[in-house]
Amino acid sequence: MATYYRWRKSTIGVQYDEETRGPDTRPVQFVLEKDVGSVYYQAKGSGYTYNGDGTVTLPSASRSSLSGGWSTGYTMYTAESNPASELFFALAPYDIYWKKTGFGETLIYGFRGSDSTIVNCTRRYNFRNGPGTSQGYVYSTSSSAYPNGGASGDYWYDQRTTVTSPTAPSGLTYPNPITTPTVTVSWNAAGSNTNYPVNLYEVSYSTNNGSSWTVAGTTASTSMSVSIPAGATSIQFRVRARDSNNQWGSYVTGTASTVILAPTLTVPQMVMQGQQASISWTEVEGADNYTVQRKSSADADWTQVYSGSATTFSETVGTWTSLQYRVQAVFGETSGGWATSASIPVVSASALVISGSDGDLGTLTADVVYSISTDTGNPITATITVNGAVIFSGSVGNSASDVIPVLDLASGTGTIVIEASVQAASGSVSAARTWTYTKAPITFPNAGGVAQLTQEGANIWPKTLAECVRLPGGRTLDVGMLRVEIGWYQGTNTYGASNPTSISFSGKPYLVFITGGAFNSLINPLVRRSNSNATSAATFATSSSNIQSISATWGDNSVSWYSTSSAQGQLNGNGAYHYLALLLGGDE
Amino acid sequence: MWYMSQNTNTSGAYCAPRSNPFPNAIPLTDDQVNFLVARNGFINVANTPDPDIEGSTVTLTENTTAWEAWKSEEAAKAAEPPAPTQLDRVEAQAAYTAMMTNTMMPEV
Repeated sequence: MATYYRWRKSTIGVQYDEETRGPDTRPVQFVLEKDVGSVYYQAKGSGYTYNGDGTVTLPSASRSSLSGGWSTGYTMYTAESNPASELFFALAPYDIYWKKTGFGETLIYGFRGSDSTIVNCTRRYNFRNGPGTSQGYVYSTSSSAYPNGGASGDYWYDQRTTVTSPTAPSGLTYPNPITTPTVTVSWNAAGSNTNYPVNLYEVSYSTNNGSSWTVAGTTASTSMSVSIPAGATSIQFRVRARDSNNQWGSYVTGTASTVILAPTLTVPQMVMQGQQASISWTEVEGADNYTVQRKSSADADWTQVYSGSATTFSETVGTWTSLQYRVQAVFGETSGGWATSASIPVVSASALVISGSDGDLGTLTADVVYSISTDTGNPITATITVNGAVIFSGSVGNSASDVIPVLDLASGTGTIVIEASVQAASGSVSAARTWTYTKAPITFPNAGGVAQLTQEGANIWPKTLAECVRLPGGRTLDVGMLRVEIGWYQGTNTYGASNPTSISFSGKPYLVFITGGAFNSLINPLVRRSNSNATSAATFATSSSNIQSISATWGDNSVSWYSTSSAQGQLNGNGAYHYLALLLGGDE
Repeated sequence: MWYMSQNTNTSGAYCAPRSNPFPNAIPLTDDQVNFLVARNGFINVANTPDPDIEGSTVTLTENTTAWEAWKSEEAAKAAEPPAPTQLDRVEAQAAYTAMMTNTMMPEV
C-alpha cells in the first residue's frame, strides 16, 4: 500500500502584524521591495477609524498631489520634514513613512500592490502570507512536493500529514473446486484515500500455495476470466488495485481451490447415419473414470453412453440429424467439469455410399467389384489406393461402378483403400472403404512347357507373349526381333573333334563373338553362313600371326566348334571365356 | 550357378560349363565347376545332391579311366611332329614359287 503525504491547500490570504508603540514622533519607515506603481494600505489604531481594506491609490508619478486625498483622516505628506504628518510618502519612490503621535496605540499595517501581490518591506513587521480560503487537500508520495506552511505558486500549503492509498479490494471470489479450463475471478472495488482514483486491478495466481505468483492480467473492471494453467492441481488468486497515480495498493489473497479440469474432447466434424461416430478425449491426471453423455436430435436430454477408464468411445450413428457429446472426469466421488462438443451434423446414409464393408476379402479369385454413389447429385471425388500406391484419383460423377482387376494386384497379402468425398448440403461428406486381400501367386508346373491353344485344329491363342506382338509388315515379335545374349563358360583345356566346345542359347544364334582365356585381348567371331543348321568353317586368332582353323556346327539354339591344334586355339584352355551372341527368335 | 550339358563329347568328357541355363542343363556349383575343369571334363555325374556341397543337385566323381586315356592320347600327340598348318603350307608354296622364279628376297 502506497504512503501519501497530504497538505491542506488554501488561497494565499493576508495576515496582519500588530505592533503596540509608545508615543513617538518619529515615523516608521517601510521600504518597499519594489515600485508597484500603486499601493493599498490598511491601518488601524486607537483614535483612528479602521477603514477595513480602505485604500488609497498612490501613483508614483503624482504622489505629492495625493496628499489629503483619502477619507480616514490621515494626512499625507511628501516629506518627513512635516512632523505633524501621520502618514506620508517620502523621498525615495518606494518609501512610505508612518508617524504615530499617540500612545499605546496599536497599529495594524500592511501594503499590497494594485495587482494584489504582497509588497514586502524591509521592516520586520511586513505582511506575511498565510492560509486563505481552503481549497481542499493535495497529495503526493514525495514529502517535498509542497511546502508545509508556505506558498507554492498561487496557493498556501500546510497541515502536512500521511495517508495510505489505494485500499485493498475486498470480497475476492472464485470457484472451489475449479472444473473448467477458465474461471472467473471477481472482487469488490478498492477505494482511494487520495484524489487519485483507482483505475486498474492486477490479478495473479499461484499453483504452489503462494510460493510463487504469476500475473494473469490486469483489468479496469472488478472481474477477470483466467485460464487455468496446464497441470495445475490447485490454484489461488490475489488481486491488488492501482490508482491513477500508478500507485499499487495491498493484495487481497484468496484461498487455494482444487482444480478438476474437464478433458479435452475431440469429435468428428461430421458423421453419417449407420456409420461409427468415434470420439476421444485427453487423459486427466488422477481421474478414476470418465463419463460420456450424448444428446442427439432424438434425445430430449443428455444420455449417458459410457462410463469407464478408456479415453475413446464409438457408437453407431442412428437416424439422427445432429449429435453432441460431452465428457467429464470422475475422481472418486467428485466429478469434474464437462467438456462439451459442438453440435455434429449427421448426414443421411445415402449421402455417400461405398459398396461393401471394411474387412478381409479373403483369397481373391476374381476382380474386386466396387461402387460409389451419392444422392446429393454432386460429383464424387474418389481416390483408390492399392498397397499404398494410388491407382486412381479424380471425379467419378455421382455414381460409379467398376472393378479392380485381380491381375493388377500383387501376389501375397495387400490392402485396397477407396476414399470418396462429395459436397452435401451440410458440408463436405467423406467415406472410406478398406479391404485386405490375399492373392495366391501364379505357379507353373516344373514339367511341361508352353503349348499352343487350338480349337478345331486352328490356333486361337498365341503360344508366347512375343507371338502376340505384331511388328510393321505383319511379323511377330518372336520372329522379327533381334536379340543379344551374353554369357561365359569355363574352359576345360581339351580340344579336337572328340572334344568340341558348345554353347546353348535361348534363340537361334547367327553371330557369336568370343574372347578370353590366354588371348582375352582378341575377339573371335563365329558366323552362321546359312539359315539352316550346318557346319561352317571359321578361324580364331590367338595372336597376330597364329590363325587357327575352326570347324563350327550350328544348331537351332546352339553352336559347337573345335580346333585340331590346341585347347587354346579352340578357345577352351584354362580360364573363363566370354561370349556375345546375336539371336533371332524364329526362322527368317 | 553354372550349367552343363547332360551329354558328353565323344571323348567322354563333358563340355565347358556355362553361365546361362538352357534346356535339360545340369546346374553346378562353383566348387563342382572347379572339380570338372581340373579333370578336363572327365567326370561321372550322379543325380543325387553332393552331401559335401551345399546347394548341389548332382554328385560329381572323377572318370579316371577316360581321363587317363585322354591324357595318354594327348601325350602321344605331343611326341609326333605337328602337322603342317595351312599357313605353313602357304608359306612353303610362296618360298617354292620365289625360288623357281628367281625372285627370292636376299637375307638381310
